Parts: sequence; structure tokens; C-alpha cells
Amino acid sequence: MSVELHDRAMQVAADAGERARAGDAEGSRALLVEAANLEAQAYELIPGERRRTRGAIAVSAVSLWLQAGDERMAAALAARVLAADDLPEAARTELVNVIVDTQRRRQAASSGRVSALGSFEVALRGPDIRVAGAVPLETVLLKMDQFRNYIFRVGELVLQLPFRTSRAASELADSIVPIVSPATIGSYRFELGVELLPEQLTLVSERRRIDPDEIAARAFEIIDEAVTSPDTLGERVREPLYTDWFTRSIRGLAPTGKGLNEIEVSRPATRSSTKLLPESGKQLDRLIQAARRAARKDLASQPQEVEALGKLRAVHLDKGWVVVVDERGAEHQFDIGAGVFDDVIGPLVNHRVKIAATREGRNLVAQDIVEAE
Amino acid sequence: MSANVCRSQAEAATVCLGRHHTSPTRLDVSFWESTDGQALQLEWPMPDDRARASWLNRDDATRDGAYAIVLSVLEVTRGLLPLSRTMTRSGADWWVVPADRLAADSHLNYEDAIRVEVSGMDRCRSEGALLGRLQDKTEQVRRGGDGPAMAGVVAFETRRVAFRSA
Repeated sequence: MSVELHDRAMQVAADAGERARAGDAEGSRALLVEAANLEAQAYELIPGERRRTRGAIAVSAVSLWLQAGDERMAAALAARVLAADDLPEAARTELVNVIVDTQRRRQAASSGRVSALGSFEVALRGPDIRVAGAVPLETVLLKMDQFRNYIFRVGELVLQLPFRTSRAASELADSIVPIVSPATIGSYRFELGVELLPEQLTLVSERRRIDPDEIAARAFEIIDEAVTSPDTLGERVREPLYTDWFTRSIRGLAPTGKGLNEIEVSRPATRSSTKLLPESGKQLDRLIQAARRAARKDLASQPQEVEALGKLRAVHLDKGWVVVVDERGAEHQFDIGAGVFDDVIGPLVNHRVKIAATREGRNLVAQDIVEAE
Repeated sequence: MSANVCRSQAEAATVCLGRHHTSPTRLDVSFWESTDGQALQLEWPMPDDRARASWLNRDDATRDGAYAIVLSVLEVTRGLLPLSRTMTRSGADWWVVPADRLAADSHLNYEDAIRVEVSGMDRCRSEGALLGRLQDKTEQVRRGGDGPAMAGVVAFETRRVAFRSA
């Protein structure tokens, strides 16, 4: 009965995986459609009182339709099950999410855009987050700005574009649009995704087609690696310049512990999650400082080190300097050094920062700029 | 669980273990709810070059190797057997049930099955890193569904396996 049908569905799904690995995408898809149909039949036969089982198998059948690439069938089955069955809350939520995701992509497609299936959620937690998820605008704008720059860099890495060292805007700025969905109550939680603009498809196709899902997946993976194993981030990213940028960027994304003490990033599609904590930023900072010390050892003469604290008031990208105003209101100008990236420090304008600089002749050169704790 | 899947995951585990240890290896197992740890002796064949090449993708090897270790440890220490792999959106990695509940029934029965979220770490800097991952995974599996659930984390470098109920 239902056991038999489910076992057959799982076997056929496993065969689909084998076909996919062998490069037969079409054959794999046909088998996934068969598996989804078998699983849906199994669901129908499960006794009504086994609510948890019915929920698990309904979600499984919908998931198989999604794997087969047929969102319309997945959403149709989800809607039918939701209307007819009294499933446990977790299963209902999953099915509603499938319908919402499908509708969102359908809406994007109607204007020719492509929306990422695997977007990710960001939850901000800490003293700055008030009752019902209210949050100071400045706090959330900083984090959203940092995440936007992060997504562009991940897109450039995924497309194997040369590392952007100049002050120029991302080449992808006209191709992809980082999007944010409404927050839900609790912590301050928002969903980040990527939409691809249709007219840009031809421009990038000579290199490689942009896959918004791949960008979302890589964006999550890189943060997860930076949190769980910062020492091996380089092995994951494989490009030293990008590794350096991500190390600094994710250090900046990590909460300082003052207004925010936790940022959780999760991928609803895979149920994976990772947490950026103040300690995550400190670990990355230790790596950055160690790299700076190692680089200094190779210099013939040791430059004088200067540290400054104040509010970042101006960034001049063309002339390559920043201005910091200290506690007494005095302005200090620093040239932008090699390890300071404009899309890492840009979001920090009007925030308190700590600058590590070296004195080179009459100039101060900023080697590192980070949000002050 | 099919014999092929079982063999494949076991091979992944030997590749992950082989990066840091030689057989036999002592596994230190702990359950959050219990103060006593348990040491298990694990014997395994050293992977050959072909196996290592097949599992060159570190993420795949760590994930599948962790499945093999977690499911084996749950069977040996708790008498739990895998009922089914879960689907992508279903909140965890595996459904497991007590061996005596795998009774003949023509209809699926997940009412008392335990959802298990598994996580593998190839390298592990400290016990704190392992327990931090365990806490994250426990929260993840708790949020992901209803009914009994647990998380299991394997740190191949430090030979540690830790479980926590959600």
C-alpha cells in the first residue's frame, strides 16, 4: 500500500540521481516526475489519523516536483493538500512557502526577470532589536548595504570575473538586483535574494550564464565557511584576492556585540543556517592582523603605526582618501591603502570606525578600517 | 536504507577518517542529556587512491561520511534504525525509529519517528566549536518540524560524535 508506493518513489528518485550524475538531465527529470507521482499516490493512501506521516509525505511529494523542475505541479499539489488536509504546522508552513516562492518567481518572470530559488534569510538579534522586530533604521541600513556589496562580490566570483580592485562599480550592477522581502516579527528577519534582469543575459553569456541560485548558494557557503572554519576560507574560495575581500567583508558583517550580538543567515531551501557572532568577527580580525604582520616583516624599513578612532565622515573614491572626525571634532585625512576596499568601508560612512594606519612621509595611509565596538 | 547507499556512505567515512587517523580508531560519543560519555572502537579499511579520488569533493565526503557515523552510532548505542532519508524541504536529514517499531505495516508510519539532522566537520579547532555547531543544528531541527528530533555532529579530526535532542 503506501509503504510500497513510497519505497518505489524513493528507488525511482535514487535512479534519477544516478542519471543526473551520468549527465542525462532529461532522463533524470522524467524519473523525478514518476517519483513525484508515486509519492503523491502514497500520500493519498496514508490513514487520516497519521497526520505527521501525511505531512512528511506531502512535503516529500512537493519537493520531488520541485526537483523535477515543475513548480506549477509542486504549487498545485501544495495548494490541494493545504485545502483538504489538517496537517501539522511545520508541514503547512513548508507547503505555504512553496506556493509563495512559486508566485514570487512567476511575478518576476512576467516582467522577464529571473528570481533565485535559493534565496537566504538574515535574522538580526541583539539589544538594538526592539519588541516585534522594530530596529533602528541605521542598524538595518548598514547591514543591508554590507550584504548588497557582499552579493555583488559573490556574483563576480561565481562568474570568475577578475577581482575588482579599482573604485569602479561592479560589472554586474546592471545585471543583477539584490532584493529584500518583508521582515517578519520576532528578531528582525528579512529575506535576501537575487533577481536577474533579462536584457543583461546576452551581455554576460559570452563568459558564463548568471545563475541566481548559484550566487545565493555560494553566498551562504562562504559565510558558513568563514564562521565555522575561517582558516580554510581560502581553500573554499580558491582566489586569494577574493579570499582577502571576503575575510574583511564578513568581519564587517559580523555584529560587534553593541547593538547587535547575533546575525543568523539561513537557507530555507536546505534548512542550513549559520550564525555570525562577535567572536566570528574577532577570529577573522586575528587572521587579517596576522597577514598584516607577515607582510610587514618583508619590508626593508618598518613604517610607524598609527591608530585612530572616530566617525567616518567622507570617502573620496577617485582621489583615494577618507576623512575621520575624532571625539573632539578634529578632522583627519587618510589615504586609502591596499587592504582597504571601497565596498567594505562604503557602508561605514557616518558610523564610528577604528582605523589602523601607517605614516608614509607626510601622509597617513589607512591599512584597515573596521566598525568600532 | 539500501545496501548501495550504505556502502557509499561508509566509504565516504573511511576517506574522512583516513585524512586524520589510522584504523582502529576510538570514537568519543556523547549525548547532551547524559553526563556519561561513551568510547566506541571503530575498525575501518584504509581508503585506496580510487576511493580518495571519488570523494575528492570535501563537502560531499564530509556530509556522507557523517551520515554513516551518526547512523551507525545511533544503531549501536540507542537501537535506532534509519527509516528513510528526508526530502530537501522536510527539515532534517534522516528519519530513524527504534528497531522494534519497524514492524510490518502496509502504511507508512512516521508518527513516532525521530527526525535527525546530521552535520560533519572535517577539521575541528576545539570542543567548543563542535558544541557550537551542535547547538546550531539542534535549533535548526527544532524549528524545522514537529515531533521528536535530534541533531548529531561528527568531528572527524578529533574523533568526536555529539548528539542533542531538540
